[in-house]
Amino acid sequence: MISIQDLSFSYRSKELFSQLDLSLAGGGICGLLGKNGAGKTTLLKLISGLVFPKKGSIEAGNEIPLRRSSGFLQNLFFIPEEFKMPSVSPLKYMWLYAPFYPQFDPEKYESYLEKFELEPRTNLLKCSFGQRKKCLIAFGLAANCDLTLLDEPTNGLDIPSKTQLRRALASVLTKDRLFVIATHQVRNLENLINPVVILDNGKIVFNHSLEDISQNLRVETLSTLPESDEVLYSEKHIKGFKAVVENTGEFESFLDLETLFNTVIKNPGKVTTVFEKGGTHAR
Amino acid sequence: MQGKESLNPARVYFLIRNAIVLNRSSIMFITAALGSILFLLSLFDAYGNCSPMFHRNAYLVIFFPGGIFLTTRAFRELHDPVKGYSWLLLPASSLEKTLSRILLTTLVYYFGSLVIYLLFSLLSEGINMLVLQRCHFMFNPFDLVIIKSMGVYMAVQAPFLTGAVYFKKHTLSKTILFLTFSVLIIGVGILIAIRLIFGEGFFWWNVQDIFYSNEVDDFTAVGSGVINTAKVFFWFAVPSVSWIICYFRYRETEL
Repeated sequence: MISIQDLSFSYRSKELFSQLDLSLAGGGICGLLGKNGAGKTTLLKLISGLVFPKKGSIEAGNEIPLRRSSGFLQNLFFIPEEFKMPSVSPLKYMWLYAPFYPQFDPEKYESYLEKFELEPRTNLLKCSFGQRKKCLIAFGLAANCDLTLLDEPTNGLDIPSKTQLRRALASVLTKDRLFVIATHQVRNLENLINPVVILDNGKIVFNHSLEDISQNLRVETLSTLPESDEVLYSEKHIKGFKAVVENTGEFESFLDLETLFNTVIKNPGKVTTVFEKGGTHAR
Repeated sequence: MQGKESLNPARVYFLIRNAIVLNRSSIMFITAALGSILFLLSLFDAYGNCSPMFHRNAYLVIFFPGGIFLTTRAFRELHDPVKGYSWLLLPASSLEKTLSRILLTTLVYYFGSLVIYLLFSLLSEGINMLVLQRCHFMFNPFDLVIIKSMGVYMAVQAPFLTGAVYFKKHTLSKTILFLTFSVLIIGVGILIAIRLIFGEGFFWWNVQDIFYSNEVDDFTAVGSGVINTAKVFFWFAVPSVSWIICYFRYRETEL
């Protein structure tokens, strides 16, 4: 679905990506994680063709994004973090933009509006930011595009809406559709994201499925930290230390995304070695 | 599917329709403001000398600046960092999007302004008749001058459409500045070329002799050639080159 090779990109003199490679298959919800300023939004812009790479190649669904052909755009929906909606109702919004998406499903759109508790005939400019965002998400899901890019989709959503978003995303997932979610609020989408991609210092430092993660990493509670370097990451808590170590046993272990992110960012080299040693099922 | 430029008339129509629907409030306010001015001017003129060409002249005075103003705002969404993404990622090819803006600022604007002006002129003359018991000649959309003005407008507005894609802010002033400098550079270039071709024997006061012959009371071969070249340049080269540049510039636009 997405193939990025040897990508370099910079904003004027500031280099953001250098020799970045990434490969993602369809049929999943890819979590794109990274620190502030790591380039998550820029990577989404590059994949969608909003900005052009300085070097290297990007392919998304057998198309080259920078050409922005109608065929490519019909199968892409991008929900940015900041956006403006026109002064129309959600129904009028559908009337205006649905003709551009051949696979758009009006019934699904109306059902999402209902689930998100949005009034179809209220002017969007009279709605809160969260409500507008829900309208855009509802439209994006109903557009049935093969590739949907979401930049911080849970920002501005209330707690019930976050739950509704998780449910909606889980319900629309098919083997052909790929969702790429750039976020730093990993807890909101904890059980949904698979694979996990982590961006740091202009490179993809981690790209693995949940299955790989649970096979290769394990969380332990230790009263004291060992002298050896077997602990990849640790956090102090009431009972002692929550430590991430290599999973050498046969049993799979659950690792929450926040701890995983911290582990990878703190020790990218060691984590890579662990995954290379243990064998991966990288997508 | 490999990124070929497509041209789907339905999508071009939807792009134009959306632009009109989404800007309906601005269109209505501007129309109402211009309409009010027209009512007043028509009333004063009917009260005074009641000039026979009032509506034709008034239409042209509104049509040209209004069209240029509209043209400079044709790609406003593209330069908005927040709105730009939705315009750039709307499923239509670059060709369809550029074409929709060309049609919107030329044919749609021309016919739309004719219909609206006709309605306002009928209304204003009705008022004139009621108040003053006299009125101007009716506005004739099929007047040859009005029809020709469309061609002139298309040639004049094309560089402004290119300016609308190129310049993010102060589109109108920057385009005028650019055009002024271009004309100056071209003019100086032509003068240097003439000087080089005709050499020392050329004096500026000979220009008339080169272009116009008093003996046959007509243009010389050089004069006719220059005039025909200028016509082709104005009617065809300026709009087509401007639109092509506009299209390629749009394709290159990043957010």
